Amino acid sequence: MRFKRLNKRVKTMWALNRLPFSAALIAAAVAVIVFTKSVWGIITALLLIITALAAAVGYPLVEYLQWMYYIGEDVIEIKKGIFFKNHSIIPTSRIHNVNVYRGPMLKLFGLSTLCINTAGGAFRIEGIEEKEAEEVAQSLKQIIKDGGAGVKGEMIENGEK
Amino acid sequence: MMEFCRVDKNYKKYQRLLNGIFFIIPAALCGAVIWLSYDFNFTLGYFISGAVLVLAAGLMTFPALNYSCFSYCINQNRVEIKSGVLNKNHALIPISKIQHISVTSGPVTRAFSIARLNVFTAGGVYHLDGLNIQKAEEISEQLKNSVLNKNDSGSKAECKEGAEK
Repeated sequence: MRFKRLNKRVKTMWALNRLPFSAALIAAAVAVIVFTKSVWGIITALLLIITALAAAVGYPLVEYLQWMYYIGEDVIEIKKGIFFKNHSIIPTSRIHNVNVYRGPMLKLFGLSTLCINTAGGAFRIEGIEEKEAEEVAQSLKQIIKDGGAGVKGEMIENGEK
Repeated sequence: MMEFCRVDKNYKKYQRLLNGIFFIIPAALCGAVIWLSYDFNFTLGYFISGAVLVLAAGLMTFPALNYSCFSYCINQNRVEIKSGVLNKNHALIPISKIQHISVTSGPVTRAFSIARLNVFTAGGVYHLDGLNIQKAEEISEQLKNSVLNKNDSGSKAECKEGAEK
């Protein structure tokens, strides 16, 4: 299959990113149990803990499983969604600019976020390997050197008319 | 030479289902509540059920009208979408101006095995609703190829559905 999943390390990264939030929720749950000591207090605390777990454990797993991408020579494809599925096809010749973003967290895991902009919209692939992101940037440079596949394509069409 | 194609027939059913859920059932419920709150006044009852029936008939036939007024045509140079029952709309998108393409489908549309093809240009988005999921993927693949200028004379292939009608 040509579609790839993100790097597995991204799951750990997402979990770590959401850890402060989850910790705060769990602290709140403990506080609720200590101060209220009633059935409703325990139910609230349970709900808080479930939310915390969903944020720290559930979200990374689901997010990882629903993401698929393909970076080819002339096209970049992104498939996402569980209930509402979306399959985007971006011809490389239509890409206006590409950002390879690396925050401290991403750096720690040796990953990067690839931001792709076209005239029609913006796309992000979070958590692909640095090497791969750089490859995309390189191949775009090549396309620019060649005069831009998009420009060439349009000239051919004008010729036909 | 250029043939306009209709979308999948399931799109009619899908629209009917949506109309049923969002208009007819609420209207019937509202009618029932009004009737009950007036102590079974029978004149009012006939009036309400008549109104609901007219509404239902209208909303059940409208998708068919909409369907027969909706057609699309895709060839090497452009995508054309004709839509609208009373207010006709004919969108023309040169393929060289397409920025990217996406295919989306939700849980309900997937149950009807239909999907939506979104064509993004720098100026806006054009939706092609109610295509068969496979068909939508095929068309997006083909559009991609035409955008990349490697197309193999696709204009015949995508008009299979046109022959069916």
